[in-house]
Amino acid sequence: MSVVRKFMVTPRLASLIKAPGGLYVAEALKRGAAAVEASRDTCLSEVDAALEEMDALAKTPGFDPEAMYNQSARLICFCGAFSDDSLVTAARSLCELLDRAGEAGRRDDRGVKVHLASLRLLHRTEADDETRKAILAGLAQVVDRYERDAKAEA
Amino acid sequence: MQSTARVNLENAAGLIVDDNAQALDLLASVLSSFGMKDLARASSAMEAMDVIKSRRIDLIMTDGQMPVMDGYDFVRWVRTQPDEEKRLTPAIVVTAHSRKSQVMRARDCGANFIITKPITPKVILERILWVSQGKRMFIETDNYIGPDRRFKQAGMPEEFPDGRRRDDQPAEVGALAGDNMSQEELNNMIAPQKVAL
Repeated sequence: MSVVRKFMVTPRLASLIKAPGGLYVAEALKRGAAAVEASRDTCLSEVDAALEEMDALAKTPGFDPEAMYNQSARLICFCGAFSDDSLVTAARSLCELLDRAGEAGRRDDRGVKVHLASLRLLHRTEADDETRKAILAGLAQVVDRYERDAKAEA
Repeated sequence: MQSTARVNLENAAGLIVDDNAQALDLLASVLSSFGMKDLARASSAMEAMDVIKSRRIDLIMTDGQMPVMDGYDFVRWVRTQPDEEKRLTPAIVVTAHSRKSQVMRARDCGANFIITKPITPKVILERILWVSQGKRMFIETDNYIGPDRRFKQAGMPEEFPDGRRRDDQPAEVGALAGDNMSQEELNNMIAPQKVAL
């Protein structure tokens, strides 16, 4: 029989954070937003680099889906500085596609290429909201195909 | 999260772990902007393990996906440390995407929170404030060591058993000031009236 031990914990952080001094939450958030804004150029460069790596991978026959997944995850990391979240949604969609394809033991190079083209359309372009929504809706359909296939097989 | 509340991280020691140097810089700059001065960085779980062994850490923030040993296994390792203070260190995992195969591992690793990238200062501060709340239940079993995840049923924090925080307005502020108005008085308030122009 397994033993379950339950006890109350007060982390040291609890007393430290309440110590006199420090910042108002509003001020901390303002400084946090400024810190993210200050790294905007770095974030843009990282997104560009990730997209380039992904394009290069896609051009290689039989590319490693894991490397593609890692680059898409890298792209997600650096989207925080952008006000529009369509790029991060598209990158998450690509991660999801690669994950589901891997789980199903398949490759989906066409789906990956559709995602890459969409990421290019969403990044550093003046695409309006309607266009962005339409692109993301299209990507969702590409990924949902795996659920539809799984249901059809079941 | 009340904007007038105060947060003091000046004396808190943080550990951030990420294999991507730029992501590490970004997280460090956000935590520094919150006033955290003592910030240890590690580019792998192995480096982070050395930090944990060698010094006191009050808050861990780690990337979920890292080569060799990922953030989930790292937190699981922290939760098995013989030193109780180290074992109970608040830990937050930050991840870009949760693979289907990793959802259960993420749930069971013993992290206080798993938050999604891209990081935003608001979400990070909210989670830091949450993990630094007063007494919370911690559970140790054969296959799970970590905070009680069933906090939604936990009720009020022990420090505020009546459900009111110290900075809440007194209950009297919202109390009835006089007798209820009669129906006739209410009707008169909304009845159409002639206006002299």
